[in-house]
Amino acid sequence: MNSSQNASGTKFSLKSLSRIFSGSEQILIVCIVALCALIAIINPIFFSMDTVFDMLRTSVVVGIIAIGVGLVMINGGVDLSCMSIAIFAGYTSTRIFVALDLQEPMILMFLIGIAIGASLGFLNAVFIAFFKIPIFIATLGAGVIYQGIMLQFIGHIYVTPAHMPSGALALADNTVLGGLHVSVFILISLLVLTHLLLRYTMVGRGIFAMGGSLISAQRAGYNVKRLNIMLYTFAGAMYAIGGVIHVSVTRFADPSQLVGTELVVVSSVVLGGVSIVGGRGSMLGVFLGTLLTILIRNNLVLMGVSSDWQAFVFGLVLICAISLQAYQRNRAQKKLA
Amino acid sequence: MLLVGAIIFAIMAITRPTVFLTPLSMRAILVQVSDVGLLALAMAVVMISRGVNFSIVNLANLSAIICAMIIRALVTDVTTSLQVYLILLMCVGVCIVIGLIGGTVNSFLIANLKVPEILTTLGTMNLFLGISMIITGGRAIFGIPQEVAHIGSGNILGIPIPFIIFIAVGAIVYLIVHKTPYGSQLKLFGANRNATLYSGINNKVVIYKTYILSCVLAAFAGLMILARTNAATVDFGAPLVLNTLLIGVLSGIKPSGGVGNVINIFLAMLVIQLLNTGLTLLRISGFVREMIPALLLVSILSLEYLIQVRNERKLNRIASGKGKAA
Repeated sequence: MNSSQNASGTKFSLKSLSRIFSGSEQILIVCIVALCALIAIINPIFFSMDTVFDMLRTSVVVGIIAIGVGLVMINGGVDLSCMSIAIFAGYTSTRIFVALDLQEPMILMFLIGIAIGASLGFLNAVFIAFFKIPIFIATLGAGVIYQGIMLQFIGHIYVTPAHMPSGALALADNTVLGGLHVSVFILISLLVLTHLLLRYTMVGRGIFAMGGSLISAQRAGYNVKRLNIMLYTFAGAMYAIGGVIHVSVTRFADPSQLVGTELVVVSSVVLGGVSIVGGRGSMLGVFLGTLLTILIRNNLVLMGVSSDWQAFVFGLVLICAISLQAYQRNRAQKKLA
Repeated sequence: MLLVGAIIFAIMAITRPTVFLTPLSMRAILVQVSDVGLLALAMAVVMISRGVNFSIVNLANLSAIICAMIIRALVTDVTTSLQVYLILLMCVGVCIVIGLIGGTVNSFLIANLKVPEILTTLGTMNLFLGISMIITGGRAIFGIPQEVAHIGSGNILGIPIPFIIFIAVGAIVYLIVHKTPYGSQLKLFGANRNATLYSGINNKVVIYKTYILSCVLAAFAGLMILARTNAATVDFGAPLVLNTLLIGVLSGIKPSGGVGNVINIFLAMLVIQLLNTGLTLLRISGFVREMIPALLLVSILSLEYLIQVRNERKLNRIASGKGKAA
């Protein structure tokens, strides 16, 4: 009696585990563990708690921005303006703080950043939802426009660590539990928040529905325009949080940073199992995809690969990830037919 | 289109006549049009098929680097200029091979694995960049022989040679797009993929042909860039992708595909180049100058949509009016 209860207990926990981690996420975890093991074998220095903390810290900015891009991709688009919005919000909020001679509180800087990011995201949504410009052209163009506006009208001068608000510097130094950076908790809470929004609200269902089939979503009664506006505004806010954390953690507001690394975020999202044609994906997957991308990007040198090879390996990984996903999708479709 | 070009030309001519209306700046415009133009053609062909190719600029750089290395390796002090021209001819062949390979990789992913065009070409863009980085280590390659540089800067009958080459290549693309069965298949494919599939056109073959054509054009543009700038670098002209998209849209190609006219692409290119040169001469800040193509792109597409909505409304009104009369 007792043993059978036990057995059913383990069965239940296994089931719930596999409910949390879907197929692609299990593969991801295996990949991450295997890659870690490989790096640790080649270079034993890698194997320490500091490395784990460090990896988490470096993945915060990409991870938070990947939340926004992940949402857009679940919705069936690609956002190429993410990094422009991130640095726009980060740099502008820093400049506002410097101009007003404010040092604290950090929360205000975040709020300013979020307001900027959300309004730029809203603008994206206007291009996409009201003028029906194809998403990639709209976001590509918008990204360039935002950067131009920032460089021309807000400034192109670095804010050096000496001039950074002390609140931002305090955030950069703030660690708990012997080295774990505070911003990691921001990332995790945003992931959980987005996960809940995506799974348990009508807006979340709508985002999935639109990614699956735009016309079906429309006929099912979703207000597509309103959903688009909510989505891109929320995504813009995410980029902004990422941008503000970026300038605080690097202690340096350089308006030319981040832009040009959009593909890192896109690859995090794609590696994380978010469908390249929309309609599928999870925040846990995005997080794991980010970890894997950062692992690959930052540790090639530790593995003895020359830095000249970085772009090539990265491109190859991205292509392999999308091909594998496309291959699985084609096979599933054939099975159905 | 012609009108817009003429207006920009007039504004420039009036505001800065001493700088703008000189043979030198006219010549500069024609030369610059040439390599950007080849890239724009490469993008336009793909846009007609309702796709996009982000990898063209990096593929051009890759082919420029490989050609530069071949030229550097084969040309010594004793080589005669005839031999240099032969080597150059070989480089054209190499470009075609590079374009074939690049196009095949792109179209394999798009046609056989059914990966969306945007992600495919973003991925291969990084791949080509990576290969260039591995070859050069990120350094520029200089030291191109006189004969090659001559092609980039010389004149025949007062017309810059790059422009003549560009016109020749453009004519070939014109013939391909407008006078061959493949050209009509391409346009039909862009307009409605299901329709072409069910009317017996092999969609996969169309995709392969389109991306290979696009990549060969891009690789050839790389050789032109090499001849014009006398150097091959990993990161030449990153903002050109946006410019080529803009030229495509300006020429009337809809991002939703199906329509396209090579002659219009020429005109759009001239307009963009006039605009760029004009803005430089007017001493507009570089930040704004980089922003303007994007601004134009977004506003033209918005305008197009508004016009389309208005036309549809008009049609609806006519239709409903007829309904009442009947």
